[in-house]
Amino acid sequence: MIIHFIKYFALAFIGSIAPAIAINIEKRLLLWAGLGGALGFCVALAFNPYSLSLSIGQIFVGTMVVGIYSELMAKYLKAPSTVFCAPGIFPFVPGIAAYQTMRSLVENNIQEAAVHALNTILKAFTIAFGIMIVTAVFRYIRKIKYSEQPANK
Amino acid sequence: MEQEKILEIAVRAGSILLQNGAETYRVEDTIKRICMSYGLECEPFALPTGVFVSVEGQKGFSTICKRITSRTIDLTKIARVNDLSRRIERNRPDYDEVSAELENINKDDFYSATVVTISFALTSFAYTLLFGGGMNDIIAAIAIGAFLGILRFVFSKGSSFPFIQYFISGFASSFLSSLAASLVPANAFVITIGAITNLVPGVALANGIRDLLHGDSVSGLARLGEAFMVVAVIAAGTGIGITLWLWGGSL
Repeated sequence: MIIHFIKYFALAFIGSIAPAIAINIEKRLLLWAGLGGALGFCVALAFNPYSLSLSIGQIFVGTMVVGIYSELMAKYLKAPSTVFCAPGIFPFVPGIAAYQTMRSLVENNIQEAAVHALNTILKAFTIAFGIMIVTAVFRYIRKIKYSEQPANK
Repeated sequence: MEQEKILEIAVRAGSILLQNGAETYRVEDTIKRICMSYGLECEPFALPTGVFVSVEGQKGFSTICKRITSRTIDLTKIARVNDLSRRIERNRPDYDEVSAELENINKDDFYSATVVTISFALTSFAYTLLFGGGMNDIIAAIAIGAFLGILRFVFSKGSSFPFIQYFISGFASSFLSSLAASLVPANAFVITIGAITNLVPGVALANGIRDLLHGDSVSGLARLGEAFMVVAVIAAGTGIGITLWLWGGSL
């Protein structure tokens, strides 16, 4: 069980660092960017450890972890939160569903293609929504903080 | 410093940000911060495809409109322009210093082509293994990933929307992985997924959301639309690759 998690932690870690290099992230932030994706993926995996096709709920929780991590790290390491967020969502990309969609389309199996396409689109939207909700909440908190400051002085 | 020079610096900083994929509000904030540091009132307006800045000083109004024609993603340059704008706010350096610094930021690429190609191969490796690939799958995925990395540099000097790069990348990953699976016992499915993951428009998605939430709806929708188009083009390339392979096999 623990070895299982260590394996997927390491894979998600590499799988977040490597795309981070492709979008030119500073060297001092690379390890931190990888850690975000690995953490999010392991939290998502914990809900159903032996299935690699993540459900919508798992993706939502996982991307929320990535979002919270990147907002906190952006403040702590003084970098744009995109630096942590963009590589962090890579482990959640619904690659299997997308491939199956194309495969069924090619085989002219439209009904199956529709099911897989809907699956892909919903999962992609879940990734976007998970990040969105965290960003919105953090922005709201920051706004309240800023509007309170002048009143305190 | 003269009004025109301040404006020029601000617009140059803003366009470097836009060319490297920064969020719209970051571009506008940076331009505003630079102008304010030198005591100019300014009104910036940025879109993913261009930026307008208008300032009001002793000489009246002046405006620069700058069109952004080529775009890539380089988060290091964004961070460095951000640092520079904060330094300007503190020290107010003169024109030559800022100009040289901006030149410097725009010039160097942070990671060499080799490193980026290796990172593409690594991404393929990680996701092929993550989706349950075996030894043969992994070797094929590393080769195809490196090939996609090379493709990126071949086509990167084209337009701001590298349609051909995405299309050929999608095509190559499905066609080559089918080829690999026919030569050695391997699973074309996991290899393709591993290779394709390299092309996911993560930054466009994340920044599109941030723009939307900030109220920059035009930029936000444009970025999300672009991300969607990228995925559609890759999918089309992948599909045509599979079709061609199946068709070739049936001959």
